[in-house]
Amino acid sequence: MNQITKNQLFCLILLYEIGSTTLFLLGDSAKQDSWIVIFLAMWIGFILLWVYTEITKHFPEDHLAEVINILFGKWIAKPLIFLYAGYLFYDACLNFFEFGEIMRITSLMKTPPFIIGGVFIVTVIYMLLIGQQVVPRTAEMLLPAFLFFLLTSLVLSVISQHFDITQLQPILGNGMAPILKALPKVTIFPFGEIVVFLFLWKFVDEKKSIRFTSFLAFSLAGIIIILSQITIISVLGTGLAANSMVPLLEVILSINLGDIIMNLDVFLIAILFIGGLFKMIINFYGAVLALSYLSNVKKQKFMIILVGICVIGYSFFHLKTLPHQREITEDATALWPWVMGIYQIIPIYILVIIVLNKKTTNT
Amino acid sequence: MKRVGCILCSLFLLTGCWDKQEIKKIGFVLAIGIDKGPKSGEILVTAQVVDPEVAQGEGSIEKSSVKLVRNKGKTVFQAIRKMLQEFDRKNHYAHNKVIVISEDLAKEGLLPILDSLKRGGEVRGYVWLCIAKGAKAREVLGVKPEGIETVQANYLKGIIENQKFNHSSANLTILDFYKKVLGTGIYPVASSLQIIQKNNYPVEENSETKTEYIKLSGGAAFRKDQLVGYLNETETHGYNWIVGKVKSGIIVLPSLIEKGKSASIEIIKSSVKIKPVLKENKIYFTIDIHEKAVIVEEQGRGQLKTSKERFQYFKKMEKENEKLVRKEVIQAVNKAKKLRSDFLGFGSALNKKYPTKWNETKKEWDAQLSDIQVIVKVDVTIRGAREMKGSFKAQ
Repeated sequence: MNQITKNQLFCLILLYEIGSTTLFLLGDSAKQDSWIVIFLAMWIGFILLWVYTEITKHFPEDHLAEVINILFGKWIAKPLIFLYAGYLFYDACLNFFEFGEIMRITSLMKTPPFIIGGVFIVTVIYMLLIGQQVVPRTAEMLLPAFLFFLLTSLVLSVISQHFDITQLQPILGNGMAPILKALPKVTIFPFGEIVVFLFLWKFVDEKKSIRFTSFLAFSLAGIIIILSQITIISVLGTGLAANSMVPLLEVILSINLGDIIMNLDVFLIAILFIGGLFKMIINFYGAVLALSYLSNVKKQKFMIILVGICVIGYSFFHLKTLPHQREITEDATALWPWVMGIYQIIPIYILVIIVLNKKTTNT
Repeated sequence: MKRVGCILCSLFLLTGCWDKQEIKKIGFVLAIGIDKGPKSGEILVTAQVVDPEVAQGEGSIEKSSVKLVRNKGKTVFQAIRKMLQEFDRKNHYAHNKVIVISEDLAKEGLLPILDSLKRGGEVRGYVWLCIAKGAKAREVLGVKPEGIETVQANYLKGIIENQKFNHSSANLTILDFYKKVLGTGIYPVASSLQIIQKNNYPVEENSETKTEYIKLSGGAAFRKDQLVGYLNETETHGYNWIVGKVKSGIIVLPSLIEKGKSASIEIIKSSVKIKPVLKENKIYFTIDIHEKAVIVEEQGRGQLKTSKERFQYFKKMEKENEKLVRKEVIQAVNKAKKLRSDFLGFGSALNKKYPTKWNETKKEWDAQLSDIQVIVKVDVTIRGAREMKGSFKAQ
């Protein structure tokens, strides 16, 4: 991924941030106010993004693992980097697994998961193996298609008969409490996941444009996420939206314009696959970078294949089925609620150390 | 060359043969009817499968374009699968248009019945949901289409969609049903389909003397997901006014020009606002209806000579119209009180404006419904009388 251009960075961030949010009703515990949750989470995301880009300003040529190593020394750095590698690996597994399973639920009931997953992972490994430029360029190429499918389905849902914006009322009906309660979760997913770009920003050719481009893509992604959530709630109502496995599918299937434009499930599949691919490939590559740094493996190709095999193994032998995976995640968050946010918070700590270091060396 | 080879191989290898569905092996279900089975706890599902060859042949007279396949089971899905023991094609539900449910089943609650259809994801949100009033669902699906459409489900769908010309009936999609049942403060009103009989005339070249028709009339009101009663046409007028579903319709008023004659007014546009008012911890609702209409028929013989007279006449008609709409709305409100079902959405309006008050009262809302005060304001504008200036008088 050497030499990512400004445009490519924009596409990558946009695809990554929207990525799998289309699968869920974010902040569903806040019901019709979930879009407010997302809006607030986006602002917290801005703060995080500022912190992360600030780190990149101080270390433009290093990725997160290298920064951690420089600042903390070998003994603290190794477990920390390992933690990040694990986080990114787990995230990649989740993306990989969920997209495969949703595929199965929505359209390919009888196809063995191994085939769907296999095709998916082979594509990912292949894209990473054949050259540094492939992923960013594909992002540049597929983003228009992705946005076309997503925005068209949103627009069609709005003009379709089922759109009823009053489903969003009452605004703040239950006060701020449910919103604040749902806020941490939404901040971490999807907005906090931007932390993975700490591994990628070093490859951007124009270092100066990183912050501006990132903020631009990030806010655009936030706006699109909010719009799609508003559409989902307006079309389905909170009851059905919270109960659907894939709310957006339900929304897309309810589109019927004059008995001509209908049955657009293929749109969802396109959205799912493009978004899921990039979400996964970026997490995957982050994990590869962290692990190869950790293990001093010079040949990245070897690491890519190894991680790829691990992703398949972990998904099929540990996560097994979607309800099982959801249960694992829920158990984990109940057991260590702090663990989900720690990856977002550590960089803040890193920035503090950087600033303190600068001060002491200056004086 | 190698690349081309790879691409060609992928074409064959990545097609997803596991989930292939051959169009020649599936039967397209266009309507589903669900009844109670003969034994208690059993469900009888009727699927109307279109016969593509006959339907395509522009309505062959000898052969029907649809087949009714039915079977019973403990669950809907069991019944659907059991059909395949007697029917040669695997049924495909994604093109379904109408779901008809018999009234005795609807009285016990629809959520358990619709569950498998919704869960399967094959039944789309825009499918129409109807209740067979005073008949079995399979009988409704069994009535020969007496419209232009040869496929019976399309005939049903056409009738249901004609609601937009007619405010005497209600219609409801599956998605709306779920939205209202799972949402707060409003219950659904579904279409009610009746079977009626009419005499035939020789020109229709029918061997029977009577023909059965389907009639969409009134509405079927729910409490939660259970059918609690039917609305007659006047009450349905009121319902449609309150929920803002009047798109068009004819209002018949007594003619002001000649006694004993009538005049028709066509509704062009209507809008409504329900506003809850909270005063000293008491709630009342104002229903504010705006209607735009034209006079399309005046039977009264007489002449309105000046523009001023004509204008006065319009004003008077507006007043009469307002009175009638108010009466219809009040009737619908009374029906809601009687059925203890808030199908008019007062609770939902309250929730949108005063969420805290709603959270306090929502538990006893259905019981308290009879105490609700409603103030109805109707504002009618008659825009004109089509292409004639006044009424006619024989000289």
